[in-house]
Amino acid sequence: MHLQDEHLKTALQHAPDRDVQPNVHVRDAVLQYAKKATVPQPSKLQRLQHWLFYGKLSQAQWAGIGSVATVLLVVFMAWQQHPEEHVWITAETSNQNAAHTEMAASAPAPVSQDAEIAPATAPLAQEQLNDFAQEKPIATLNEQDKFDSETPTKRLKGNVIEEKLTGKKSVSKDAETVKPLEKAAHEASQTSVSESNAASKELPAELSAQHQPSPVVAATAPQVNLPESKISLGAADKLESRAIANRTRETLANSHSALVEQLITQGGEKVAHQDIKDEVLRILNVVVHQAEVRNQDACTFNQTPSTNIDAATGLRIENIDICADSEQLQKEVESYNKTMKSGYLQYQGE
Amino acid sequence: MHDLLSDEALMQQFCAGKQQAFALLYARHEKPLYRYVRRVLGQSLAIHADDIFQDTWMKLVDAKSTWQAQENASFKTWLFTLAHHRAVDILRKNGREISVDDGWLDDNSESPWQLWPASTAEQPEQQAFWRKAGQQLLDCLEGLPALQRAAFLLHHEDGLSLDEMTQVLSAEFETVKSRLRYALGKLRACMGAYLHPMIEKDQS
Repeated sequence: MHLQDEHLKTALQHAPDRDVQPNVHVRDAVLQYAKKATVPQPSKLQRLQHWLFYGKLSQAQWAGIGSVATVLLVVFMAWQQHPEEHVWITAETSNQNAAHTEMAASAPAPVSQDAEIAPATAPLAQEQLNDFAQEKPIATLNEQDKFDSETPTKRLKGNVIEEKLTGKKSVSKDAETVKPLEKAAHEASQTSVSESNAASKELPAELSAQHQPSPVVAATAPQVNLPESKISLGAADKLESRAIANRTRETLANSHSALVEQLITQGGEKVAHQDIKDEVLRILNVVVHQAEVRNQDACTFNQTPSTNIDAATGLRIENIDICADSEQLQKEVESYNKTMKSGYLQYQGE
Repeated sequence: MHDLLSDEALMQQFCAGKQQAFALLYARHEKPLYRYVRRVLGQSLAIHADDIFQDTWMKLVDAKSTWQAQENASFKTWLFTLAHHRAVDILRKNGREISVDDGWLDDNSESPWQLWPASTAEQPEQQAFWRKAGQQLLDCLEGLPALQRAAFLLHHEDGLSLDEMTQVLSAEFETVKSRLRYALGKLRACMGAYLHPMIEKDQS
C-alpha cells in the first residue's frame, strides 16, 4: 500500500481552507514580539542612567520621596536641637548601671529628710550615680571657673535654679544629692553597719567633702532613700533624667556662682545697674551656714527659702547661701542692695 | 537573497539579532502551520487555532538564545512539533479522542478514484471538482482520530517524511506508519462514496 495518495493530496490542496490565515492581530503580535526580542537589552547601568536623566516619576513616587525627605529633615533638626537628649544606652553603660545599682542597693539606706521626694526622685538619682561615676564632681565641672581658687564662696546655690527649672524643683535637688549618695554607698560598704546607721544622716556631707576642693562649696544634701524597687530605670527615664542632670549642672555653673563671681570681680554697684537694666529687680541676702560646717573642707545646709519681701521697696529678697562668711562679699552685696534700692526709688519717682 | 537561505540559516540570523530573518521565516510557514493547526483541531476546536499559532511562534522566539541547528531535525520539524504538542493539549483538555487506531480498513484496498487524473486539475470544471473533493476530505478528516489526522496532514500537506513525523508526533516509526496507513484507508473509504459518481461520469 502506498502511504502517499496523490488524489487525497490533490484534494487537500484544493480544500476550501487552503487560504486561511491567522488573524491579522496575531500576525502583528508575533512580529512585534520577535522585534522586541531582537532589540539589544540595555545593561543595568544604562537603565539607571536612562532613569536618572530621562525617567519620569509618578506622583505617588514623588510623594514618597518627599515624605522620606521631610522625616529625615525633622529628625536631623531635632537631633541638632537637643543632642544631649539623644544618648544611646550602650551595653557598657548598662553594665555600669547594674554595678552601681548593686552598690546603692547594698548600702544602708540613709535617713530621708524629705520622704515625699524620695520615691519620685529615685530614678534620677540612679541615673546620676552613673554620671558621676564617669564624670567630674559638680564642683569641678566648670573648668573655666577661675573664681574657684580665689574666693571662699564657690558655687553657691539659690533660688535661680528653681526659677529656671520651674516644676522640676525636686529634680534639681536630686541632681545635687547624687554625688553624696554615691559616696555614701561606697563608704557604707567599707564601714560597719552600726557606724553607718549612727551617722547616716550626716554621712553624705562628710563624704562629699573629700571630693570638693573648696572649703565653702555649697552642697545641699537632703538625703534620699533609694528603694531597690525604684532603682531600675526605663530607657526613656534614663534619657530624660540625663538631660535634666546636664541642664542642672549648667544652671549651677551659671547661677549663683556666677552672681557671686560678678559681685566680687565687678562690684555690687555695677552688677546692680546691670540687673536694673535687665529688669532683674531683687534684694540680695547673704546666709552664712557656719553652724553646719562639718569640717574645714566643706559644709552642707538646707536651702533657705526666698519668699521674703523687702519692706522698703517691696522687692523680692533672694538668698545667697554660703558656708563661710566673706567680708568682701558682704560689702559688695550691700553695695548691690544700695544701688538697687536707689535705682528702684528713682524708677518709682519717674 | 533571503529566499535562497534555508530555514535553519534564517533562524541563525534571527538568533544573531536580525529581525528581518524572522519575518521571512514567518512568511514561509505562516499558512502551512496555521492550516495544520486548524485541521488537526477540527471544526469544533478551530477557535483555538489562533492561540496555538501565536503561542508556537512566541515559543520559537523565546528559544532564540538556546536554539542550535541540528543535523537530524529541521527547523520545520521543530516548528510543527511545537504546534502539534500545543494542539494535542487542547484536544485533551476538550475531551477529543486522539489515539484510536482501529484496523477496520483493508490495507490492500486501492483508492476508488485512482483513475481520476489528479494532475489534470487545471480546467475550471476540474478545479470545481477538486474543490468539492477537498471539502469532502475536510469532512472526512473530522471523523478521523486526531493522531491519524495529524499523521495524514503532516505527510500529505506538509511533506514531512516518516522519520520527521516520528519527531513531531513523538512516536515510534512503526506507530507513525500504522497511523498513516489507517488514516489513508479511512479517508479513501470516505472519499470514495463522494467521488464514485463523478468518476463514473467522467469515465463514461
